[in-house]
Amino acid sequence: MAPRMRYWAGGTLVACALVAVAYLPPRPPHPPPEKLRRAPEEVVAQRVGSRLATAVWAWQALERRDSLLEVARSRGLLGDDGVVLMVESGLPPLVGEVLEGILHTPDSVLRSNGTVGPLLVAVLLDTVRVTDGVRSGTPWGTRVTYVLPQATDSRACIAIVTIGTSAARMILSDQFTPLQIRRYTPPAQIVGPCAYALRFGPPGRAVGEWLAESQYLGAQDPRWVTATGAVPLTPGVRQPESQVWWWYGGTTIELSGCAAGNYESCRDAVYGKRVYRTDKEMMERQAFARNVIPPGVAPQQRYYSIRHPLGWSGGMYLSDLLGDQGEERFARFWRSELPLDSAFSEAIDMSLEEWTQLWAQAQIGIPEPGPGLPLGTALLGIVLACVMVGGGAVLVNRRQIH
Amino acid sequence: MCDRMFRTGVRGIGVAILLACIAGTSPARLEAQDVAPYRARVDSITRLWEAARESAARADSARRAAISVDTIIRGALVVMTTPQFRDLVEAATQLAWEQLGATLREDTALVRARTFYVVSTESNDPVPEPIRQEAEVIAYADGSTFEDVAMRIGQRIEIAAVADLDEATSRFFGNHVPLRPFADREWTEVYVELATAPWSLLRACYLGDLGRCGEAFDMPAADDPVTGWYDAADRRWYVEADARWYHERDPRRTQCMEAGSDQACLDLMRSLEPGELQPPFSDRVRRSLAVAALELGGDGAYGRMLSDTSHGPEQRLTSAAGVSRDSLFATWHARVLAARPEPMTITRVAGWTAFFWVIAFATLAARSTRWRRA
Repeated sequence: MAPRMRYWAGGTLVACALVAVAYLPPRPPHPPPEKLRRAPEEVVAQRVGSRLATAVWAWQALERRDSLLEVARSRGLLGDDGVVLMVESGLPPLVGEVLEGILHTPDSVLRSNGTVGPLLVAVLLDTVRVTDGVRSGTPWGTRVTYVLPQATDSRACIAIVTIGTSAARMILSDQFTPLQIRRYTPPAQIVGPCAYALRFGPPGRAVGEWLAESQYLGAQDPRWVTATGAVPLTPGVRQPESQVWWWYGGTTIELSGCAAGNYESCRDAVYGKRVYRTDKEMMERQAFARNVIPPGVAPQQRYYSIRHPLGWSGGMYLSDLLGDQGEERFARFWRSELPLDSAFSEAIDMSLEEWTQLWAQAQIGIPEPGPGLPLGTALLGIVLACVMVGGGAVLVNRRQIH
Repeated sequence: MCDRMFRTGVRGIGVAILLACIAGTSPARLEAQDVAPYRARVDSITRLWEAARESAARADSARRAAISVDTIIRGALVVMTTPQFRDLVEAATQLAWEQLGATLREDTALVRARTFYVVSTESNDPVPEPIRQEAEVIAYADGSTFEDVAMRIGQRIEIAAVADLDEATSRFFGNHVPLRPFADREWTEVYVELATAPWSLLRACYLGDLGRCGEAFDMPAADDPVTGWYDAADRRWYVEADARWYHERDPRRTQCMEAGSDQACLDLMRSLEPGELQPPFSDRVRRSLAVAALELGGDGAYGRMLSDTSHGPEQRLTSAAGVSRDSLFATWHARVLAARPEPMTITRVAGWTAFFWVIAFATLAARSTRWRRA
């Protein structure tokens, strides 16, 4: 190679290396804008505050559980089956009337399915507050706290619906319409994991551990207690609700991989294993919450606050399983003492990965894995490249000077 | 021990120590359902939190003492910034106040005093906590001009002015009272909206039916906005355009969109909560009516608008304009039509010039290269 050519080749390689260093991942994250930037001491105080809020919530859940059980016991409500509504006396009668109306269907569904034990739905004003920068003792987005039978008298399940200060102010000044109260929290999410606990009894050990690990995400939205009910999945057909995926930040990598047929991704999605974790503080906060929250107690997870790889519709996972596979198979799965994947295969004629893939496709459709270049564009590129190379060859041949 | 660490001023390693401290409060998951240990943990973390807050307050005080802040005052605007951004912020404050004066004239005294802290997003200095509590922080992107910053200040003033009006009027303005004159571009945008909106009411308004303009502005307020604002064809189009807000399994949605049932469209639109039904005119067009009223009313117009105690925009705007409702609509309509954008036309000269260059390049391209020899 001529020396001059060597310089050019070397220069090109150096330039490529510089471009690679500048643009290829991993890249450092952009610093936050100034107005969001906090002094280290403020960051520390804020993080302690968020952990304090979770600890307060956990403690309050148990305090409220005890007082509600006491009231229910004194009024002889613990022997009931189905929904028992308890509304704090300071709230206007309208709140009780509306909730009674919207809980009528879940109550009928639970009773018609031979539910054992009462579901105490308590509506309380959220008066627990910690000052200066720490929100009320309720984790962000949570309006319902579930206390499952394992944390009560083994029979009753409690759903504590807390009404925050701003909503309470509106309700007490009669600014809330019945429609707004109805939309405040959907009935399926008021009932939440209690619906499964009361209908199918305590879960098997592995299923229970899996649920506890995800703070009962998979059981948070039992659509089968509503008038719409749970419906079987149709392979390759998206569910009607799936159109709103983009509202909550789109899909997750794990669910996309699963829908595309990567079974490892399906396992990651179900077991809550994130492929990439960038927000260290969030992961630490979640680990703290897992440590602090008492067994059998779970917060409602609102769509927008879900960080689990099952995505925002993860709350419907078990409801869809029940609708798709039927009560008998679901009950076998729920009560199985086998590990989660074995419980799945044993109760249902599909593996955990196969059914999760079907479910993922019902949520986000069937992705088309592979390069994102359309066929037409690729062909056009190849044709143009051939034309250029051919044209260049012709030109070079014509440059011969005889 | 953890409390002592915070009191002695932990900085960089604060987070690590914090986590260790909190982990120490819960060495193992509490299996028992007894409330007492959970209460004890809350007490323990509360002590840590109070210590952390004290530490943050001390650090903030030290930082505040080190940062010098300049204050610029123009009328009711009090704007603070650091010396390095003073020139830009001073020019912006001056412009913002002049823009308010152009619309409000002698009524600028009615603008509520506001305090802002303006800083670049590129600045490395954190906003001192006392200033954060006292002033609204406006962070502007690097490369912003003083006009951009003036616009941000003006917007904050307009949003704050909503507090001086009743709820119906605030809603009419989109919670953003127009206190600055509209630029020509903004009037043109209003024209484009009026000329291209799909609603029959707006088409009639565009053609000069001022009564229909009034209906589109909801003046007087419609008894049933669903039928008052939209006809049957509009309603079907409305549901189609907003289909994502309705549940897919709602049979009325299918009947309205596919079978064309007007009753289904009516039921669906009436099921919306008050305030969810979008009026035919956007917030910007409604604000343009207020701008026209303030322009028409001249001196004291803003004061009249505020002092009118009627609950609703119609009376307030006519009081401000000092003319009848129809005259106000007529003035607004003429102002909007005058902002018609110039259609893009190709002049004869430009056309021939383009043709010439196309031919010239084609001729050059067709010529033999200098490398070829016969």
